[in-house]
Amino acid sequence: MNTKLVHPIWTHLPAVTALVVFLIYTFAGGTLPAKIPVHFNYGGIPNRFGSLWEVVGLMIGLSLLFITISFILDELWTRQEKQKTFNWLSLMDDITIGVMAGINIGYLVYLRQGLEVFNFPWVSLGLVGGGAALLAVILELIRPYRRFSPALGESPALSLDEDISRRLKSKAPFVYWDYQNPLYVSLISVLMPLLMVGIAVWIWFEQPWLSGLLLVATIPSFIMYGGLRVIITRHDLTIRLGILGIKVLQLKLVDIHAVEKHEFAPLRDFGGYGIRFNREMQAYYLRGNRGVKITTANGKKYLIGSDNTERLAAVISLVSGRKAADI
Amino acid sequence: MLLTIDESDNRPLYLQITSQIKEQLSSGSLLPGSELPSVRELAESLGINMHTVRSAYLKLRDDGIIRLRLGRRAVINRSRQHQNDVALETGIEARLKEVVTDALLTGMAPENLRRLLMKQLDRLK
Repeated sequence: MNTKLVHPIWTHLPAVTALVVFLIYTFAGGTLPAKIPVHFNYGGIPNRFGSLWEVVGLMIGLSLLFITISFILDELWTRQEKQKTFNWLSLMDDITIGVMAGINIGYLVYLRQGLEVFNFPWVSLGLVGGGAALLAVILELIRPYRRFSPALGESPALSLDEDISRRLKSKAPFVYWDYQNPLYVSLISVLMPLLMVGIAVWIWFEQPWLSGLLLVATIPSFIMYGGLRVIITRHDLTIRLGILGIKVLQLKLVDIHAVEKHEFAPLRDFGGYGIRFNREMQAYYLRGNRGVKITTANGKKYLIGSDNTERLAAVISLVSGRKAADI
Repeated sequence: MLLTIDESDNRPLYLQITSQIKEQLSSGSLLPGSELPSVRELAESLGINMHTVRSAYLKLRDDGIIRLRLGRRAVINRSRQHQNDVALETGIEARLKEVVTDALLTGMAPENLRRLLMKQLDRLK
């Protein structure tokens, strides 16, 4: 795997600046009361009090989370670029942190002035949030385009072609098995449910309905554990998902009309990873930007991502009797 | 990973599976760290008994090829735990002796046997 960063990290500068401005204003902008209101009703009247560190901790934690997510998404986007494009996702951390910093600065002003009602701080929000967003747009526009060249190349699957042809003639039962199970899926499918169960237990007595909803929501996260598997037998192609092996796609091989190797940009073309749809096709992948595009007799198109695209295309085309077209 | 069941092969099914996995590992089609299908999925796809697949996986585990973990799929070992060289050589020599004896008993010429052996070595190179 090529670990050299392609996307310049200075595009996250507006987000970092907004966080720093908030911290400077918090600790150098004057004294604050020991106990501060941390939650308000719709009328702006405080209904819960807490410590300043609750606010500062939440701001720092959320900022780091958004910068990390944005860092990963920006890097993925850039690696899939064929030419310079405007990456709207790169504004995510800058706008989010800018908005949070703007609201929190207005909140600090409210605390220092000792007002009874908290009025929404449109001015500080506009200045900090708007400033961060504007700077982020400028930085994204001047960001240089760097072409990413994957280090890995796949060898032609000639011997596999011969091998499968021989086995098909003998009418022997066979199975071809391909899978994608990246580390992030394991992390999400374990950590997310744990976090959600933790929160559900924490709020159980205060908000039992929300707690119950959270517990139910852990199920789809957990069943992803195990990733996607493509299983090809003499009669059909099946894609199974997660620990329970849920069948998410099944195609009869006789229904396959065309097979071609396909290169795509997961974020730009489908908006992410997993089971995805766009106007042209349904896609099944958890990593990478290469796969096999299958067109069925009724014109439906499916994209199956694979770490062994050549091999998978060779198997499907040989088994279905369709010649695979190149990328 | 590609697995087939050859009904004309006299070997037990579980040995057919183990030898194909070993072969794909030698040829580089399967890489260390690769996951294998679950016992249930593989048995269902090939139309064979789950115990047969389980026996194959246990044999591969005993040979140090795969790692079996409770509740997770089998994985090709990243670092093969080699037996000591003498024991390994003795075992392979015994198996080769059996193959050579069988071939000569069927009347195969030694040149043909040598050619077949070289062909296999070339294929897996």
